Amino acid sequence: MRKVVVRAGPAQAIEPQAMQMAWQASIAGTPYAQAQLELRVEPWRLICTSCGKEWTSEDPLELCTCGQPATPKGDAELTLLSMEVDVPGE
Amino acid sequence: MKVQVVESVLKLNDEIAALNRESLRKQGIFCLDLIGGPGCGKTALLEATLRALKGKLRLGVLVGDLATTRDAERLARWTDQVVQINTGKGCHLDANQVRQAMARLDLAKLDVLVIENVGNLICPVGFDLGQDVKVGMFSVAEGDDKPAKHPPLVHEASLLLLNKIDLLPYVPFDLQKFRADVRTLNSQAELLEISVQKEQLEPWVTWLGNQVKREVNL
Repeated sequence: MRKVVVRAGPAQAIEPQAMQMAWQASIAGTPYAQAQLELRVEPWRLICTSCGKEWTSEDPLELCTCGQPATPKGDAELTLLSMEVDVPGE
Repeated sequence: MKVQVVESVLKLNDEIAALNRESLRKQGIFCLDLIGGPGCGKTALLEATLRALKGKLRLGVLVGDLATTRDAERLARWTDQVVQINTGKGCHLDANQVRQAMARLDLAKLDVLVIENVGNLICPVGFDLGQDVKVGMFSVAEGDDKPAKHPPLVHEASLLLLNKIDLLPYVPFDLQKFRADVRTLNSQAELLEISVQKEQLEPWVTWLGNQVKREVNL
């Protein structure tokens, strides 16, 4: 196995550095010791409560450029998206 | 070679959570996952609720802590349907721990199951236990910035409780700011302001009654 791609929604309590450290710890000494973890933490999708502008941010409380608060949207999923594996003979 | 998978990393947990949910639904039990920091008053709330609703609503409690059975002992004064789950060093409950603990309850005797999670505002949020709703609990003593600092919990909760409102005159706590942060992060969730110490529990008890479609009075 070369690489694992995981997606995390913004409402999932995932800290990328801690996740990478846990990944390194769990693959050490296994046949997958060289495998990389690609973690894609999605930002919040923000929709302004006043002007309706939409943008993304890591900060769910970020104010709109018009100065008004926005409603944060995002899921709490943690999903394995794909794996890159070596196929014998390929 | 790249293999597309698209599978929940917590698939095993989610599968067991689905089994828990099914077992609870079959018995018509409403289940909530109570999540809050250490000392916000989770166990005190449940003690007061059990005491106030004895004979009116049948509550069972699964209570998670790293160590000791102190919480279960406190709750056992009011119900025999209480199971302590010690997680050792674990910072949250998972669906399998809940499943095993549920097996020690008499589900036929319950209207409501409360899962009091380990005192922690972060990790418990990501784990489905089979609950109907997540309830996030804060207290005035913790400070008004806790919702803003813990967006996942506020965003995922169906109900938010602010406890210890009797302390508002004595500690710096900007209630308007607290309310505004909660509203911004989650405009759908109800926010109930209570004081377990002063037995100001009416909104919470009414909410609980509404969930089981029954009028419950203190």
